[in-house]
Amino acid sequence: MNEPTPAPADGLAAGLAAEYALIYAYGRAGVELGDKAALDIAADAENTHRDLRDRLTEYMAGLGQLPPPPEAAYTVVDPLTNEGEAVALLTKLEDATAATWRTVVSATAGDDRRHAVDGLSNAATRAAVWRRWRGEQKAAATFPGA
Amino acid sequence: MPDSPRRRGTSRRVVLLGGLAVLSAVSTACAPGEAHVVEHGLDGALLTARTLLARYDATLAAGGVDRVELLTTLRADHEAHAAELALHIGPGASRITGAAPAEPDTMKSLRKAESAARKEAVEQCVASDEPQAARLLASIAACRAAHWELLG
Repeated sequence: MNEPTPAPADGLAAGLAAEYALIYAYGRAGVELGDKAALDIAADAENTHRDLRDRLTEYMAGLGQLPPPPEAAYTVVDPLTNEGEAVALLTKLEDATAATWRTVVSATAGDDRRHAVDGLSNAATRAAVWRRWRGEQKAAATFPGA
Repeated sequence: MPDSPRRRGTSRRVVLLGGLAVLSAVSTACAPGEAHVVEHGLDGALLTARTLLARYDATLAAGGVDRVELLTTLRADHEAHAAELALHIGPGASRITGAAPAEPDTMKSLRKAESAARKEAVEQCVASDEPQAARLLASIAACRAAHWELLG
């Protein structure tokens, strides 16, 4: 049996790295949330990102690729002292994750690209839900990730 | 995406937002409105975008629906998608028109239409041989996914 090879850095591995960071951010920002609706949104979003991470690592392993591990630690540089700042951070990171996945789309093909579009769609949807919670009339991005 | 000091051989701590500026620069380089290579597979995407636009127009014109502000913003997204796809396609785009059904939609039927349109855009994206078109179709699919959520 062949040894797994490292996944190409500009392919699904790049999206997976963004998902790791986002999952960490939900854990870090979640402690600042108090509103019931915000807590529910955060729980749903974190679950979707964890599910996506698990599907990706399983898919990449099935291809004989070695998925990159998460980093040992992440530092949040934005202010994070209250609920508003926490939601702003999560919205910003969802948008950034969408941008990462959009770049992965053009570096991939076939089922790899399908996973990239899934990642982009999930991040775009979570960002829209956060903007709706914030009361923004224009919640969905017209061209997510662009 | 986080910058990764580990890859630079320094610490294992990652600055979460440190990569945002880089990401923005990358995505702006392929943002809507640039010169594009025409891909004929985009015709179907334009037909769907214009059909969705016609359906939102018919529904809003008929009145009697809640959440008019939401529908108006979603309609605007489809209009922008159609304009961007037409830009990619070129002069032939004017021949592609969408038609609304005879009866105005409900929130439920619009949501169903967004779901079907998302799936179609995913398939068009996966089938695309042209990177710029693939990115555009991926963003359109993602926008439709967000619409589906917001209509729920």
